This record gives sequence, structure tokens and C-alpha cells, in this order.
Amino acid sequence: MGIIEVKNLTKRFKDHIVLDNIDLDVPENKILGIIGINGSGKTTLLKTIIGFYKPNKGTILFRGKKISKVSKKMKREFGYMSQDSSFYTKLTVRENIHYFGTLYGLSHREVHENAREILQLVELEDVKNTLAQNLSGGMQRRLDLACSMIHRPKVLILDEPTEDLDPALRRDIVNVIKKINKQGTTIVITSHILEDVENLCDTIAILHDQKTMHIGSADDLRKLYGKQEEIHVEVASANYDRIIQFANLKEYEREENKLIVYTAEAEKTLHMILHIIENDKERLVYADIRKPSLTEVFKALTKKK
Amino acid sequence: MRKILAIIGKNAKLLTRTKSSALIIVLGPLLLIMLIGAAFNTANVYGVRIGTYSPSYSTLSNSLIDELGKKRFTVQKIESQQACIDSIKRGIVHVCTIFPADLSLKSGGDILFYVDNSRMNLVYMVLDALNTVIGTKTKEISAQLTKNILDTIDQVDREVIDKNSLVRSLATDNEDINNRVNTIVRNIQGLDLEFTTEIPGLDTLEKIAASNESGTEDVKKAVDLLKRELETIDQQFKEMIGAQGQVLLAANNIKTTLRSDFQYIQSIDNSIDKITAEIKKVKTTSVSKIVSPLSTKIEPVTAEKSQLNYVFPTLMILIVMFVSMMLASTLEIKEKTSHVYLKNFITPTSYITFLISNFITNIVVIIIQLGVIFGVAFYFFKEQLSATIGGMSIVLALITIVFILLGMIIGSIFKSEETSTIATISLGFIFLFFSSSILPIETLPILIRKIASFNPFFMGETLLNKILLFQLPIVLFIQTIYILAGYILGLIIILLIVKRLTKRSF
Repeated sequence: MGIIEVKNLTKRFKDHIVLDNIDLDVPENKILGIIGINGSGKTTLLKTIIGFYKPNKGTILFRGKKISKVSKKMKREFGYMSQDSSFYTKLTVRENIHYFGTLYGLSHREVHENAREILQLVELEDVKNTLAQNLSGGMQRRLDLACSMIHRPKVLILDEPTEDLDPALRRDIVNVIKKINKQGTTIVITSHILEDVENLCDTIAILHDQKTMHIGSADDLRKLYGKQEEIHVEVASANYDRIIQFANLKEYEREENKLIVYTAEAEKTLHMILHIIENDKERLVYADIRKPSLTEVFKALTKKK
Repeated sequence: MRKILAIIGKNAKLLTRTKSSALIIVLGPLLLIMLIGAAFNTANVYGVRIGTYSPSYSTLSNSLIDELGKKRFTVQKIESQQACIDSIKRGIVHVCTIFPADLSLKSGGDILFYVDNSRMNLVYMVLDALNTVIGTKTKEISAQLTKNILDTIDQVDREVIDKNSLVRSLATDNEDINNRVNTIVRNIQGLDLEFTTEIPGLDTLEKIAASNESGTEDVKKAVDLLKRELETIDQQFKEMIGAQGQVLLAANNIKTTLRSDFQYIQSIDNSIDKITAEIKKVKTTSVSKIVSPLSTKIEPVTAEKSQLNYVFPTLMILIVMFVSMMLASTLEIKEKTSHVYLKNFITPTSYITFLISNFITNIVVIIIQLGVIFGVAFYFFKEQLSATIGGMSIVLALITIVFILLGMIIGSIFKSEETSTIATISLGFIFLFFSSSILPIETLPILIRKIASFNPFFMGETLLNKILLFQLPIVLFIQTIYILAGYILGLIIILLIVKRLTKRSF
């Protein structure tokens, strides 16, 4: 039983169903990643979990208690960071953190102590008196994170925290999130950048067509689609018709000059492909067998559907 | 050009595709025009109350009051001049008219209008109407006076013409008497009054007598001479008798003439008396009284003050209204549309806490602004402000709270800053137009005026006027204070309902 349990959750806006009978368990002290294409309902799911949206059907339980009747006490258990920077740009880093700390009902002493620790954690100590608007993009995301967890929530919900950041800044944020998790905070995260999710998350849920398609670790997902290893082949003529025909390929795609074949018997299939290339006297440029990355698993999954 | 059109097209779509924007942009001005058009589409002044006082009402003053009553004014006789002035201060009457005791054309005296200079737009309209009434009366009286004078002149003229023949008769008689007197003079001058004692022959007779000589011839001659002499004298006497007769006749004629002339003169004397009496009947002889028989004078109910004094209360309320509503609505909408809204929402802080905090923020800002305004105002009218600061603070506090709550409601209802701003400005203009700041509220039809009298802007403006300009204690307006307090309560309830309904939770 997870710290958060989503059961048969349906959310619709007028006639448009965004979430349809979603079931999801968020394991305590772990990082759960929710991935899905744009408009798959990731943000809606997060906002429903924190009580901003009321579900049309189904329940969300926090430690076995219904979240729809969010009490003040329960609100203190959650921290939320949205896609957009949600702090006051005209306030300094410290002022923002203190403000949210106070709204979460922390005492003056608690606010000061937590702020000091969190500023250290997110590495914003040196700029604590700087106006938020003058911070770099990465710093702003970290400030946002700091504001979301000033009250030391049990669950931290992060909606695309690495969006629009360059790889270095993304890495910073990922590291901070890992540190936070190590302190015992359960994290629910959504992202388009599956590499980050793969690096961060213990469990990954894939949202597609308003439903949760699969839930498991990155390895589980890979295993699930392990049968579907990828053969990447490139020949000089870029003509793969004969290969597809004679190797009797079922699942493949052409990507630029490359042929990507999805198969459970990668070595056998590759051998066959190489034999055809040799017979046809084609010039082989490149050939490789890969385990699918999460991106590829996600692609394959959503494509299959 | 294509780019401009594309941008305009985009703007139009953005505006019209947001329901509230479209509604407020298209319907807002229409609603404003409709409301104001319906309200001010009249040249009449409704429900103006005029207080009158006179130590003793005369026929003239009563007739003026009747005329005022006919002009849709509500005229109210008040027991004293001070009470009448106080009635203006308390808003019971708009103008106080003081008639001099026993107002008449003869007694003269100014009709005094006491007005509230802080409501100059109404004062001018009412005075204009009053002057029309008094002007009409003045014209009537002036015409009557002129007619009286012309009638008198006419009568004098007729009397003079009538007596003209007598004067001519007197002149003829005078000529006649003159001629007669001349004749008498001539007759008397023509009389031979020379008598001599040396009668010829008398010496001869004496000598004869002395000589006793005979001399008959000589005696004879002497006697002849005497005879002739006596005849001459006799003749002279006869002439004198004739002359006397003529003189007597002439004298009698003159006497007769003079007797009739005396009658003429008496008749003329009577006419002169009559003319004098007629002229005396014209009581008004002063040119200014004839031209303008009724004069008026306008006095302010307060000691003469600068225009700043009069506009200060309106200025204060205007600032309070727009700043409070704009600030409150902007704060609300900014918070609502901010990305931080969600983060605030999920904190264990109730929306009532946010409302109270925003409300206090607004109040603090307005207090600072009012502090600055009062600071500057103290420089101009320190004494007035010092004496009324308590009452003014209460009124300003109530009004500020009302407008802040209104602003918060607007900010909570609308979804974008621009529509909220337009709605705030539109509402502000409605309040402004349905007060007495631009056109007097008395120009509105009765029903609309009754509704407009509950306009918080109007209520605040009126209260501040009374308190600041007339130094009246706030307890006199306790009913208005209760109404404002009721507004606050009502608006708080509406705000809570609106907040619940528009809370961004679905």
C-alpha cells in the first residue's frame, strides 16, 4: 500500500475526459515518475492529487484517508512545484521562503531553521537576499523547489521541474531532488525528459489515452519490452525493401537513412539481415543491437497503442 | 498593413473570445450610456426643497412662495433664519430664502438666498429657477409701476388740457381789464381840471361896485364873462360826471371779470391740487425700484472659503473610491492570475485569511495615501480639519471599506486584469455620474434619484461636506452611517459567496 493511492480516478472538464479510471500507488520514500505525451493528463493528475481539482469519480487516499476532504493537517504533508515559476519575483529568495513557510503555519523559529537548511540543500545561500527576478533559470527552479518544501512535506509533487533548462541545470535539479528524496521525502514527478525520469525514479507510470498504461521500474519496463530489442542498421543505398521482404520483418521503422527493427530475437534477425546485405552486395555502414531506452520503450508503447 | 490588420484581428479575437471581456467591453459603455442617458435626459430639476423664513410674511412674499410652489419646488416655511440656514447644512433644504419683514415695494429690502457653496452646480440651477420666478414677478411689478406712472401722467395731461381754456380765458380777461384800465386812464387824463379864480369881469364888477359908477356896459360884459366862465365850469363838471360814470362802469366790469377770474383761478388751483395728489399716488419714485422692484442677494451658509474647501470632500471621496476599487481589484486579479496562486492554494491557509490580508493591505495603502492628502490639506485648512478629524476619519474609514470590498468583489468575479480594470472604472463612473459631483442628483427623475441617494460615493461626499464645511457632528447622520455599515456587511457576505463560487477549484 503506497502513501498515496489513486483508485478509479476519472476527471473530466465538461465533456472532455482527461483521466479515465486511473489507478496508481505512490510508494513511500520513493520517487514516482509519471510520463506521458502532451495532454495525457499528467498535470491534471498531480493537481487532483493535491486537491486543486475535484475528481469526478474515484478516490485518492493519503495514508488511507480520502484527500478530497483536504484538511489543513493533510495540506501540510504535501509540497507542490508547478511547471511555471510559482514564487514572487519581487521578493528576495529568503522573503519568498519565509512567506511560504509562514503560510504553512511554521513558527518563526521553524521558518528560520528550515530556510537555512533548505537554502543549503538547494545551494541558494549566497543569493538569499537577491530578488527572485534576478536569479538565473536554474536558481529560480531551485527557489521554487525550496518554497515547495519549506514545511518539510512528506510528499513533494513536482510538475516538470527540469522543463526548459539546459543539461547542466537539469543535472543540478535532478541532484537536488535526489538529495531531497534521500531525506525521506516521497516524490512524484512528471517530465517530458525521460532521461531525467530514468535517472531519478524508482517507479514510473506511463499515462496514455487518459489511462495508466504501465507502472513499474525502468528495468521492469525494459524487461517488459526486452523482447523488443532494437537492431539499428544503415546501408549506403538506404534501400531496405529487400531486407524487410526477405527477413520478413514485422516491426520496424525507417529513421532518416537508418532502419530500426524491433524484435525479440535480435541476434538471429541481425544475422539474417547481414546475410541479405551480403548477397545483395550492399555496403554496410552501421549495424548495432540495443536495449531500448526509456524513451524508446515509451515510444514503442505509445505507438503500439 | 497586413501585419497591422493581423495584429488587430488577433486582438479583437482575444478580446471577444473571453466572455467577460466581450461583455464588459461591448456592454459596459452601452450600459453606462443607457443609464446616464435615461437618468439625465431631462432639463428639469426634481425635488428641490426651498426653505423660507420671514419675520412677517406679506402678500408679496406669500405670492412669491406660491409662485415657487408652482415651479415644482417644495417650499417649506421655517421658524427662524438660523433654523433655515441649519436646514441647508443638514441637507433638509437646498436653498434658504429669507424675505424681509412685510416685504413690499415701498419697504423694499433684499430677498436673501442662503446657499451651500459646496454644491455650486445645484445652487446655480436652483438660483436660476428662483430668479426666473422672482424675475417674472419683478417684471410684473415693474410693468405695474410704469403703468401707474403713465396713468398719472395721462390724468395730469387730461387735467391740464381741461384747464387750458380757463387759462386762456384768464389771459383774455386780463387783456380786457388792461384795455379798460387804459380807457379809464385816458378818460381821467382827458378831464380839464383847470379852474381859475380870476374870473374875467369880476374885477370890473368889483370896481364898479367900489366906484358906484355907472357902467352898465361893463357890468354886462363882466356878467357875460362870468356866465361863460360858469358855463365852462359847468361843462367841465358835466364831463367829469361823464368820466366818473365811465370809470364806474369800467370798474364794475373789471370787478365782474375779476370775480369770474377768481373762479377760474380756484378751478386751476383745484386742478393743481388734484395733479399733486395724483403724482403723490405714485409711491415708487426711485428709478432703480421701478426698473428692478425686487432685489436679491446671495449668501453662502458658511463663511466665505476658497474653492479648495468646497471641492476637498469630493476630491477625497473620488480618490478613495478610485484608488480603493482599483487597488483592491488589481490585487485580487493579480493574485488570481499569478502562477503562485496554486502554491498559495495548497497551503493550509484558508481563503478568508487571504481575503483579510488583502483587505488589510488595501486599507494600509489607502491610509498612507489619505495621510499624505491630509498632511497637505492641513496646510490649507488646519482649523477646519482639526475640528472635524474624528468625524471625517469615521466616514472615510467606512467609505474606504465599502470601496475596497467592491474592488475585491470585482477582482474576484473577473478573470483578466483588463476586464477587471474596465469594470472598476465603469462602476466608478456610474457612482460618479449618479452623485452630485457632475450634475446635481436633483436633476435625476425621482425614482432614480432615490436609488442614487444610496450611492456610497454620494453618501460619503455628502457626509464629508456636512462634517468638514459645516462642522456638523457625525451623530446627526447616524442613519447614513448605519446604511454604510449595512453595505459593508452585505458586501462581505457577497464577497465570501463570490469567492466560494469563483475559487479556482474544479
